[in-house]
Amino acid sequence: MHEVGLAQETLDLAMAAANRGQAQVITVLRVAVGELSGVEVEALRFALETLAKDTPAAGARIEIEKVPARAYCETCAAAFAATVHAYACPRCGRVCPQVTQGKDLRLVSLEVQ
Amino acid sequence: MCEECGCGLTTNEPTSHAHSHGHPHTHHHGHTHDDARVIEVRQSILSRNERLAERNRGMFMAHGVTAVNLMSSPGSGKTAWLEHIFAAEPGLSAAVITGDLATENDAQRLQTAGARAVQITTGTVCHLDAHLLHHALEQLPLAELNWLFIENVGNLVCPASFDLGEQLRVVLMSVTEGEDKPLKYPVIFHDADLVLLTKIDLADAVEFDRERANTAIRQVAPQAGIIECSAKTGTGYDAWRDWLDRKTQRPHRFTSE
Repeated sequence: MHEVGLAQETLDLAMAAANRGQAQVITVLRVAVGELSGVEVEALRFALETLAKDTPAAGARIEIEKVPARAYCETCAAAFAATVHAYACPRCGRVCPQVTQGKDLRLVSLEVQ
Repeated sequence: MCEECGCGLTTNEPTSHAHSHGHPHTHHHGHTHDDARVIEVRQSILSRNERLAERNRGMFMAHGVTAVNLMSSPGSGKTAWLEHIFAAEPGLSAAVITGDLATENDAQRLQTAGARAVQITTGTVCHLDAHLLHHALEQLPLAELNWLFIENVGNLVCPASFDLGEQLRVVLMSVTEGEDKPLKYPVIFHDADLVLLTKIDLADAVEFDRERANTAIRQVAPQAGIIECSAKTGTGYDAWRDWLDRKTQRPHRFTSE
């Protein structure tokens, strides 16, 4: 449900960046969504498309890249792929809470005219 | 702007403009303005919330306030636990900011229990954010407080994404909710400093499986402490107080004296 609020923040950031770049139309919005960010990708896409109407981003293509979760095991000094449910190191089995990637939610870039 | 003719338009619509010989006429440029380009942004979508959360954090630090964010599904016993705290520590220099979609009920309950409480009603918004919290903070004398409890909107999904500037995150989970709650709603548990297993006085009645619940919590939140508690019987209160004191290591311990 909070995807609507996040979509509005995304569009605000995009408009500000487009303004700084003196662009009039945003044709592509590229967003990175971490696997652990708690954001539902399709809900975010729907909210972006809906909120973009009547803005310079109306009809823009929404490209969402899912960023996989990574965690770090201090015992093995190695990173490994984590999931939303498991942070156990595949080498030693220890549960490692140190998440190094996958919590982020970023506006990566725009294509503009 | 079009680099070919300097017309100031970015589309290839037919354009009318004045020529030096004084009679305007319409013609088609006959070329597309292929000036598409990429703007790198690389900004966190929550950057505004993160900025405001840092401001809140700075205010807490400046005033020596420890802020504790309490999150759970509706009905897990956040308000009851807070009522118990204020009953147990009547002189505690603490306040509560409580969030709900509607009504002032929780703030009234907490005020009755002796707490200084500010209600945030969010309307349709499913979580507290740093901006809402910042305005609620304006209603509290932070300089006089040692502790601030933030009772988030009852919701196990959305509050997880919004840093409020708090120092401690506590997730409550009642024994009536099912031992696999952490597996079903893992994200909110990921950053928890503590999981409070509430309504433990009902554990036998609902055949609560401690082992399963602890295993589920350890799996998604290995960093979190776990305390079983009951606002009704006071079980777990001492462990809670010790945990807060251990975590904060501050001069004013979590007592009313």
